[in-house]
Amino acid sequence: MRREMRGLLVIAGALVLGVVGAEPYARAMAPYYDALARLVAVGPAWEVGSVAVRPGRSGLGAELTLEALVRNPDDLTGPHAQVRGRIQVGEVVETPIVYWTVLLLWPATTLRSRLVRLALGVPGFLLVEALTTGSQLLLPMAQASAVLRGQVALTPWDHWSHFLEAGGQFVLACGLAGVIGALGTRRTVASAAARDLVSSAPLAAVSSRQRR
Amino acid sequence: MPDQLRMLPSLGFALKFMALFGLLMGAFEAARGSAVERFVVEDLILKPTVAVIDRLAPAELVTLSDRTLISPGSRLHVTRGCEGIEMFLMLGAAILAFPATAKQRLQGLAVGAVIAYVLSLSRLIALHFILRYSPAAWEALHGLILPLGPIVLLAVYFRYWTLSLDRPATARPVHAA
Repeated sequence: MRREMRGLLVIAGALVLGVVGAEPYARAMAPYYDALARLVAVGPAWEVGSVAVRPGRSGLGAELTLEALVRNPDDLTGPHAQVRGRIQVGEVVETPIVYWTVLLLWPATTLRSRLVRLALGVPGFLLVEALTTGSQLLLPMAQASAVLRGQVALTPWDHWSHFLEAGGQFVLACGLAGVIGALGTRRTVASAAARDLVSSAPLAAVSSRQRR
Repeated sequence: MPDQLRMLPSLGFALKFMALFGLLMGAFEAARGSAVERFVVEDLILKPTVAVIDRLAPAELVTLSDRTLISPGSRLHVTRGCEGIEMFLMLGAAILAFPATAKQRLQGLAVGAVIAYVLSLSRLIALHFILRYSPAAWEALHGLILPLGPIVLLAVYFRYWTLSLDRPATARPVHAA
């Protein structure tokens, strides 16, 4: 089968998997987003309540939801805000689908290089999830903080969110997968070169002895 | 060795693609709210979308109010990321990041822009009909298939374009010295 055709079949399979597995995926990853939110929400101003999958507001499917309490960092006893960050589960699964599909389709000459790439892919995946879905979930907290402080201008979180919404999410997932794909190849080639060097060392020693 | 040689351009392409997309997207975001942005989103994308729906199914009675497609049974509010601009930006970034001559890039962008435009309109038309007649499928189609499907098709076009760049070089006859 031609590589292009195989690639298209993998992509179609990934999309079907995404449709079927969106909600289970969001449920499975909720503890990760929860831990991430708690890691970012350091200090008394941001208090994360829960991250869970709940029925959507408009009744058009489930949503990954973050519930939190936001206080004004300059006046912790003053007015506070109850915020809720929502992302449709179909959107939650976009990033991993793109990321892993690109990484799995990245050309590899050996099984070893593919495995190295997959191993390198896990931290990359956690990073890209934090930068995309994680940051989108936290956006309402940042916006509420800005409102409580009386800030009217857009915050860096808003700009980042605009970037993600305008296609940045795909670009980050594809780009990071591409970088890891390329680095995985490099790592495999470098270790193969080191192995060749080690295995050729005794031969070099023999030849130098013969010369003497 | 061939792997190592292949790795450097791939890494360079991935980094350039991300940086160029960031620049293009930043430039477009800076233009948000301007007459140019309104012209691109409203006059070039949303109005033709409504016109096509009206032509295909006049009984839908679709109208455009600000950036919302309104019909008697649905209201589709087109927000950032739904209007299809990202397809043009991604294609532009990919073509600019790939080594090619200016002429090849212009050709790639011209054809790609037409494909991206057709895909943008098709996606919005599909979203309208899904919201109106199959809201149960909204989550899967709006959240996953309709954002990714057009990008996959554009990626296939990009792949075709990169392969077409190689053809003249490989087809060139080898001359003896």
